[in-house]
Amino acid sequence: MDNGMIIVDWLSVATGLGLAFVAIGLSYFQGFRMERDLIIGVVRAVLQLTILGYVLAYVFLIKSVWYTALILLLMAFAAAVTAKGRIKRPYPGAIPVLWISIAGGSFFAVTYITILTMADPQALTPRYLIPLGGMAIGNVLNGISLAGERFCSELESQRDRIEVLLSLGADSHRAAAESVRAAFTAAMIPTLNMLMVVGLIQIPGIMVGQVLTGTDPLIAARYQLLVLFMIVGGKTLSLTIGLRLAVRKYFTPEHQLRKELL
Amino acid sequence: MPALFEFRSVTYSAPPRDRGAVPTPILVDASFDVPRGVFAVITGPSGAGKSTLLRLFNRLADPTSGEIRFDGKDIRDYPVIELRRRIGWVPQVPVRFAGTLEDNLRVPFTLSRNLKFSAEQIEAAVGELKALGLLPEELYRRKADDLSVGEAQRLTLLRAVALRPEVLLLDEPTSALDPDASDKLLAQIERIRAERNLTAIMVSHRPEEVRRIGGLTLRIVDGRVVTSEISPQGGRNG
Repeated sequence: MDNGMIIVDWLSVATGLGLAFVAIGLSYFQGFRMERDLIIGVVRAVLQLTILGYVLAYVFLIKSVWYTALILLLMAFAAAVTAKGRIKRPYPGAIPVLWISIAGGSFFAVTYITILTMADPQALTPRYLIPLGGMAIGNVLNGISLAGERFCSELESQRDRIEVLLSLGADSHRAAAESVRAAFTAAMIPTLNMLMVVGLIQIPGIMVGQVLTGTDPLIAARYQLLVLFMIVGGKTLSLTIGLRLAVRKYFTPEHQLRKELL
Repeated sequence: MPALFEFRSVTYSAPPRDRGAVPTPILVDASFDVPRGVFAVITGPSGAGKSTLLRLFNRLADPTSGEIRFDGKDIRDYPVIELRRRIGWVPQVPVRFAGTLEDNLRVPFTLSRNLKFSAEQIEAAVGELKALGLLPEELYRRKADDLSVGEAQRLTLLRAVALRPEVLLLDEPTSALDPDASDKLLAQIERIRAERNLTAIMVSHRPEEVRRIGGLTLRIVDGRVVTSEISPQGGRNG
């Protein structure tokens, strides 16, 4: 790490809070009535990030890869619960499906990046695995919620078409192929857009963080690229697993559309 | 020789949309036969379960209890995909796929992983379908989205018989059409049925249609299926 790094202590954070007070004051004097939400938001952010800092500092002491994997599994579970909450009419047994697909895609991508790309035993410590895993899981979560919601609405609006395909001898996967494609595309568009404009309009978060803490911008750019590839790979795999499993939920083994779930 | 379809104490309750809710019974203890080669009509008040009953014939749905036999065997003993290839289905609302009418007619030949058709076979089959004369020749190269409802319904009908099924299921195919167009479509259905030697089962809520077709009538009354024979265009004789 470079020696040009400025240490942000709690006093600096307290000073930074001044900007939050500006926001609260502006809201109050203009009658926007957002003060309450702003205060709650600021307090929550301070608490959550401080706790996260302590938790990470503690977690980084863990030496076992298996404990780290367990923490990541729990993070993926929390993501699955969140994703289920975002789907309007989740099917029964949605959480295991979401958990398997979120964990499957993000773990594959994180393992690939740490073992094959970084190829350093250090990469298998919580210091790398947890932030990378969190990044992958968070992005996959957004993708899988979008895909789940879209898949369900596609099945509903394309019901007649799907049943005509079934009646002509298509299996469930063939009959649902269009809906799967629509859901996949809807979920991938934000990632594609990000790949197109990254570095042009805004500097992505990881790069900002690394540059601020003194890393050479080129190294930071390479890290950012790895993270982007990890997100693209992990998300694609998660969506593939998730949508294949969803087809099996929305259709019976006898290739019948379960209309009661729509 | 057994009837083509034999329903034995068939009960069907729609799976509830909300977990824990009580399933709504639609068909109760229905037993009847549909002999080979007939043009049967399913009729009854709206909401009686006519479309639901039709969906049991090609296993888009399965009975809650009871047995359906097809061609002498339990319908569940046939691999469902093969079964459906023997039974064409025309839904209430016409369904058009992307592309031209010809593209639409090719769809049935592209759906199976293990049953492959050569390009020549497909073109020959599409040619035969066009030769049935349901739609004017110049229409087949147009986009399916440009069709009127009546034309789209005829396209759906052609596509349903593309794989040369033995049975044709029709779910109120004329419901979106005016009386003239309905008459025309019915006549075409009758002609295809006769030419291709099909057993047809059609849902209809129009008494004049039911009388016109005659033959076997399956009337759903309070979840029970009552069969009768009506002579075409005329009075009852059984």
